[in-house]
Order: sequence, then structure tokens, then C-alpha cells
Amino acid sequence: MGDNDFREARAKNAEKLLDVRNLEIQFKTKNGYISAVEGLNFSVHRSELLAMVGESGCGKSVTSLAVMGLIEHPGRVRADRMELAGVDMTRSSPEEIRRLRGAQMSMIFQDPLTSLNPLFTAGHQISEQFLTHVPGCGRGEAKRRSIEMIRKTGIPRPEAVYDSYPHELSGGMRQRIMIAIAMCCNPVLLIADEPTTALDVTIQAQILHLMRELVVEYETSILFITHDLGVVAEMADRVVVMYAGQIVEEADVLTLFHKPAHPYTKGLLHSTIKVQDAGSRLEPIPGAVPSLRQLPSGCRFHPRCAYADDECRRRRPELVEVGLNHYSRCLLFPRRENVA
Amino acid sequence: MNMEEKKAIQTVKRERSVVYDIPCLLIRSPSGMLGFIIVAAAVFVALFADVLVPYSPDAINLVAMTRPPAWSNGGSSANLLGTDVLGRDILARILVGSRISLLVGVFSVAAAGFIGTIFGIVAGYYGSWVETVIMRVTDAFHAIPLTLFGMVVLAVVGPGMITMIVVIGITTWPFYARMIRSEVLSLKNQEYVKAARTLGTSSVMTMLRHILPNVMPSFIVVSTLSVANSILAEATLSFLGLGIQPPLVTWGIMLADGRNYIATSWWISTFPGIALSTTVLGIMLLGNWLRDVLDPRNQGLG
Repeated sequence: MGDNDFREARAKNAEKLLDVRNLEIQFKTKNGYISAVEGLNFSVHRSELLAMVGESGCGKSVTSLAVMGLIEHPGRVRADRMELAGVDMTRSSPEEIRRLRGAQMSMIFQDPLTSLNPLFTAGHQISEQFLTHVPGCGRGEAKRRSIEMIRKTGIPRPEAVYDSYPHELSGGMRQRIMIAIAMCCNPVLLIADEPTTALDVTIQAQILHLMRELVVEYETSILFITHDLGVVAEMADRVVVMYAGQIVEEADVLTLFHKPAHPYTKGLLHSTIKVQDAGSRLEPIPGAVPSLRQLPSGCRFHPRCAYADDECRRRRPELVEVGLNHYSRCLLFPRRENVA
Repeated sequence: MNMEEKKAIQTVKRERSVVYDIPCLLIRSPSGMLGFIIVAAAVFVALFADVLVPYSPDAINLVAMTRPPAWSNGGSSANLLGTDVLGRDILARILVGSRISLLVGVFSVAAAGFIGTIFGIVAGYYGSWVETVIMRVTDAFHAIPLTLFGMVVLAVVGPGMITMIVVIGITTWPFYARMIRSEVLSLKNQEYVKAARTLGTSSVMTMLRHILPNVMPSFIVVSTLSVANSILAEATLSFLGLGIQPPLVTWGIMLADGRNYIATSWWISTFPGIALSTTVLGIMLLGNWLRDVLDPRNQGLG
């Protein structure tokens, strides 16, 4: 329990580094605008690793792109506030946000095989960051610092890798290079969009370990987007669970795994293989994420929910606090303490 | 080549810039070498035609009218490739004619490629109304028939090489704009372009550093093919009497000159035709080789 208290205290007192209020992301279709994400409130605290979990198509990736200011036509973004380290990005010009990218916030992607430009050496692509964002940084200086960054990501013989083209490097190496590029300017926020999904399990573990090290060394906060609950358990301080463009549950990682308060979160947990339950069947969540064009009435999860009743079909649940810093969007919770 | 040599070459490549590799890479690619030799020869000939030709290309010799090539019956070693209906030496005319044909071919492609690439990249990258506007303008230009437009412009402004280059450039750039735009549409969704943007790279830099180099391979291949078309367009307009005017000589004019005599004096248009297709082949081979060499993914394979 002591650990829990500590986490709670920390969560309560933590300073908000990224604070997003009432974020709505819409995309234009033939039948007018549809919302990929709506009414999203979340924040990432300093030196925290916030995991954003959900199935494909629930709005995780567009949320991260919206934070980066990279939603383009035919999409549009509205938010009451989107504050990064005290700067409200909803009031910044595109050029000001561009300056923040790479310097204050940066991003790594799912597929390291395609995130590097095939025509330039790895070193060239790291150096470019120093040349772009560090005023007065010359080529020699940039090279020296790039090699230092490569070394920090745990790659042996950084000088040789500096001169290598992406196709000459393995997936894990490329992801390390991507991390090196993202961390160059010591950003306060790193968004990692499923950074280990395309990698071998052993390499995954190495990359996750590297990211944890960097969080500690640079005091960078990470918004970690994933659908792998194993990774969440290992990495995250806090978790936001998304479903069909909404947050359905938000809690610190221990609470989420031990006392999930939303049937969807439970479903996700039951869909994960556990060694101690060997022999028992997995309980997958039936069905798929609803189309954003035809959202169900009432609770968006009710067609797939084992506990849904008539009220769930009619009434839209709000995100309510069900415990200390623990929020859930479920009508059943107030009535049944533990839905499972 | 054994493994050690290969390794040695790769090490050398690491240490030196690509410029030093070119001879080494050429030797390893027979088709690239052939293309290089043909293009080098064509350029050499164009530069030094005055020194190389035994006769003035305009010298009329009525005694030696429609003389066949030296190796056939009635041929003379004085005119290796024979003479045309006015007794002008075919070889001399081919050598001198290479100048304008090459200039028009290369410069009109360069002009069209330059305009087309800029518009194509901007349209593909920005999308939305920018793309709509640029692509509709492109369509409008694409609808202009080269020959008709050429006839009007050349008739109004007067024939000339620069005018010809402008005419061919204006009517062919939409082709590049469309091709480049479609390339950019797929490139801009590549993760490394997205990644560049998440790292704060400006739009202009993204286009220059990440998109332009990656459309170059297709551009090189297409533009080398287009040099051939431009040379032929020049021939067409010259044939109609609106392009390059005699006494200047181009391969197109020579082809046109020999058209009426193809049944009796085949050499008048055949040899300029061979010169034209050989040059075009050489440019294409060189273009293909260049595309492979410029792509670092192909290193060690080329």
C-alpha cells in the first residue's frame, strides 16, 4: 500500500507539463464532419510516462498528431486549451508550433524501417536536428554531438553507424537512431506511437529499457501510445484508456490493473494471456470498434458490453471520479462497486 | 570479382565522396558505360563539329548529288555517308546538326522539368486548394497541342532556337507536374516525411531534403525518355518549316529533307535517324544508370 500512497501523492502534486482540455478532432467526409475524438481531457505530468491504450481506430494516433499540431486538411482540431510547458498551443501560430516540434516535443513512430529517409546517412539525419534547432551550431559540432547521441542510445561503434544508411541498419538500430533524433534537443515531451510494435520481443525490451533510462536522464515526459498492456504494466505511471474517440478510464497503473472500473478495461485485461492462468480460456471482447459515422446510442461501448442494460442504451455516461485520480465513464459503476 | 575486392571497394566508397566512385561504378555497369560513351561522343561531336567535318554542311555540290554511302555501288570515299539531293555531305550535316538537336532536347527538358517539378511538389505537398489550382492550370496547359501551339507562337514571334525551347517547355511541363505530384502524394505519407515534420522541419526544408531527392529517380528516368521526344518535337516543327530555319541544320530537318527520297536515296534520312536514335538510347542508358547510382539502397549491387 505504501507504494500506492506514494504514487497517489505524486500524481496529486505533479506539475502538468501537457494539459489538454476539451480536444475535438474532426475529419471532413462526404456527409459532413465526423468526430474522431471529442471532449478529450488529459494531462501528462513532468517526468511521467502516460500510456494511452485502446484498440485500433479509437483515436490514439490522431490525438498524438493533434498535440504535435500536425492534423491537416481534411481534418480540423478544436480545443479549449492545449498547453505545453506553459505555452498554450491553441493560441500559437503554425510557425511557433513548428519551432516547438523537435525542440520541446518530438515523436517516434511505430515502424523504424520507414521513419528514416533512405537517401541520407543516419548521422546526417541526426546532425540535421542540431543544425535546425541549435543556433550557431556548426557541422563539426553537430557531428560530434550526433555521435554522442548515438553512443547514448547504446549502439556500439557509433562512428561507423554515423556513416551508415538506414538500409544497412537493423530494425532495433533504426529505432535507436529515431530515439536519438527525437532526443537531440532534449525535448520536455516525447510522444511514442507504438514504438516497439514492429520489433522483436528481445529488441522491444531493450528499446523500452532505453526509453526509461532517457526519461530518468533527461527528465522527459513520455506520452506512450500502445495497445500492448504488457508494455503498459512495465513502463507506465498512469494510463488513459480510450474507446471510440473518448476516454473511458483513467487511473494510475496499479489501480488500473488491480481495480479496473470500466468493462472495456476489464475486457482488455482479460484479452491478455497470463502465465498463471494457463489452461483457462481467453475472454476476447466480442465485436469491433464502432464506426465513427454510426456511433451507438447511449454508452458507446454498450453493444459489446456484457453488463449493459437498458439505461446504457439510452443515457450517455460521463467521465466520473470513482477513486482518487481514478476516472471511469460507466453508468454501472456507481451502482455496482465491482462490475466483474 | 572476389569478396576481398568487393570489400575493398566498399571501404573505399565509405571513405570517399560519390564523385570519386563514378569511374569505378561505370566500369562495373556495361550498359551505363555504353550510355556514357554514346553521350560523351555526342557532346564531343557537338562541341568540335567545326574541326571534325571535312566540308561545310552547307556546301552544295551539284556534281555529287544523291551520292550513296562509300561502301555501296557508286559511293565515294570523299562522302563517307553519301550526299543529299543538293550534294551536301551527310556526315558533315549530321555532325553539325547534333548541336541544335542536343541543345533543344536537353534545354527544353530542363525547362519543362524545372517548372513541372516545382509545381508538382508544391501541389502534392500542400494539397487542398493549392493543389486544385495548380492541377487545373496544369490540365489547361496539358490541353494545348504542341504542334498547333508551336505553329502559332513560332509564326508570331518568328522561328528561333530559344523560342523553340520555350514552346516545347511550355507544352510538356504539365507531364512532369502530374508525375511528380503523384509521387509526392505517396511520399508525403512515408513515415520519414511525417517524422521530419514532428521534428520541426519547415515545409520548405521538408520538400527540399525529404521529397525532392526521393522523386529524383523517377524524374531522371522520365526526363531522359523525354529528351528523345523533345528532339522529335523539334524535328516536327522544323519539318513544318516553323522551327530551325535553313541554312542551320538539325537532325529533324535532315529527316524531313530525305522523306521524299526514301525509296531511291535511303541514306539521306536513315543516317540522321540512326544518329538520333543512338543518342536517345545513350541518354536513356545513362539515365537508368544514374538512377541506380544515386539511390544508396542499390550500393554494392550496381
